[in-house]
Amino acid sequence: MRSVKLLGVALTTLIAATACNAAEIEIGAKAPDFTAKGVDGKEYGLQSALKGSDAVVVCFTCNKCPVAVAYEDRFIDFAKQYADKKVQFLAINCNTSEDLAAMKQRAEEKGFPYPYAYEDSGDAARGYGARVTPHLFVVNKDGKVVYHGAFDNSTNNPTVHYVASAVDAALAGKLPEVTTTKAVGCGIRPKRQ
Amino acid sequence: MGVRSTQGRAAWSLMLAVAALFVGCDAGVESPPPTTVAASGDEETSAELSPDNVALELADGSLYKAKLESLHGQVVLVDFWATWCEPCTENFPHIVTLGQRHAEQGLAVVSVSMDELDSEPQVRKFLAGQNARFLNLLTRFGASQQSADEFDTAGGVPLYKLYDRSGALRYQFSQFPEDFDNGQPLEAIDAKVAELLTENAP
Repeated sequence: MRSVKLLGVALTTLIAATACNAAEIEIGAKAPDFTAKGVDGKEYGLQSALKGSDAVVVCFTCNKCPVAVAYEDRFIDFAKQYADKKVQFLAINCNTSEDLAAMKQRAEEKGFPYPYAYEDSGDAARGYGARVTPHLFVVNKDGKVVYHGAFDNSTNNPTVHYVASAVDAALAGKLPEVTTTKAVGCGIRPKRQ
Repeated sequence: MGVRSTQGRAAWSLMLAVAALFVGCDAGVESPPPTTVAASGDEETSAELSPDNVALELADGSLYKAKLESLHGQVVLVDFWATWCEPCTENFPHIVTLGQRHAEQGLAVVSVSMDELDSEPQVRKFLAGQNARFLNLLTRFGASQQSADEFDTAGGVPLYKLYDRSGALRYQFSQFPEDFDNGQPLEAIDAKVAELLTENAP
C-alpha cells in the first residue's frame, strides 16, 4: 500500500512537473535549431534566421485557433515595424491537424510579411517547450532565449507589450524586465513520438 | 438504496431509448443523450437543460478555491475549456459522460470556461446542449494572463486538473502527448479518475 502511494506521489510530481511547470526552455539557454518548410517552399530554421539578424522572434502559431488568428494583425504590425531593426519574425505551425495548403492560403489572404512555416514532427515545439498557440520565444543575437510567453497581456485590450519590450531589450544587449509570461491560447497537438 | 436504484435504472433506460432518437440532431458537436441520472440523489427530472437554467457562475481564483473546498470527499475533475477551442469542445461530451458514469462513486466534474464575459450566451448555449449538469464557472477575466494566474493554469486550453478526495491536485493533462505518457488524453483521464476513485474510497 505504502509503495503504491509513493509511486503515486512520484508519478504525480512527474506529471505535474511536465504539465504545469513550464515545459519551456529556460531563459538564457541556447535556442534549439529546427527545420520547417515555408509556405513559399523554402526551408526555415533558427540558425538561418539568426544570420544577419540582431534578434529573432520564434512564434508558434496556427491557422485555426481563434486566439492565434486574433493576434495575426499584431504580428504583422510588429514584423513590419521591426524589419528595419534587423529583427526576424518567424511563424511556425506544429499542429498536425492543419496543412501547408491551408497555411499558404492564410498567408496570402493576410499578406504575412514574415515566413510562415510548417514543422509537423513537433520537434520544434518540443525543443522550445511550446505548448499553445500563440507561444512566442525571443532569441537574441547570441542565440539565447531572453523571453518566452504571450505576445502581450490580453487578447482583447493589451496594455503591456511583452515581446516588443523583450526585443527592445535584446537589441540593447540586455535582459527584458519581464522574461516569462503565461502563453494563453489553444493547446498544440503535434505528432506522438 | 436498492429499490430506488432499480427503479432509477429502469427509468433511465427508458429515457435513454427515447433520447437515442434525438441523438445526432445537432449538427457539429456531438452531444451525449439527455439522462436523468441525478448525482446528488434528488428526485429524477427529465427537464432539458436550457441556456437559461444551466448552472453557470462568474468566477475568480477565490471562488474556484471555495468551490473545490466544498467538494472535499469527492474526486474532482476540472475541465478548463473555451467555446473557441475546438479540441475542448470535441472532448466535452466525453467529460460529461465520465461524470455521469462515476457520479455515484463520488466523481464531481467542474467546467471552467476561459471565454470572454460577453461570450456568456454562447457558453450557456454550449453547456446546455452538452447537458452539463455539474458546476460550470466562467472566468471574470477572459483569455488573459490574469485568468491563467487566478486559476493557476499555464494559459492554454484544454487543460484538465484532477483533485483527489482530500482536495490535493494530483494530475494535470494538456493535449501535448508527453504530458500523458504519449497516449491519448481522454484515456489517460479515464484511467486516473478510476484510480483516484478507488483510493481511500469511503
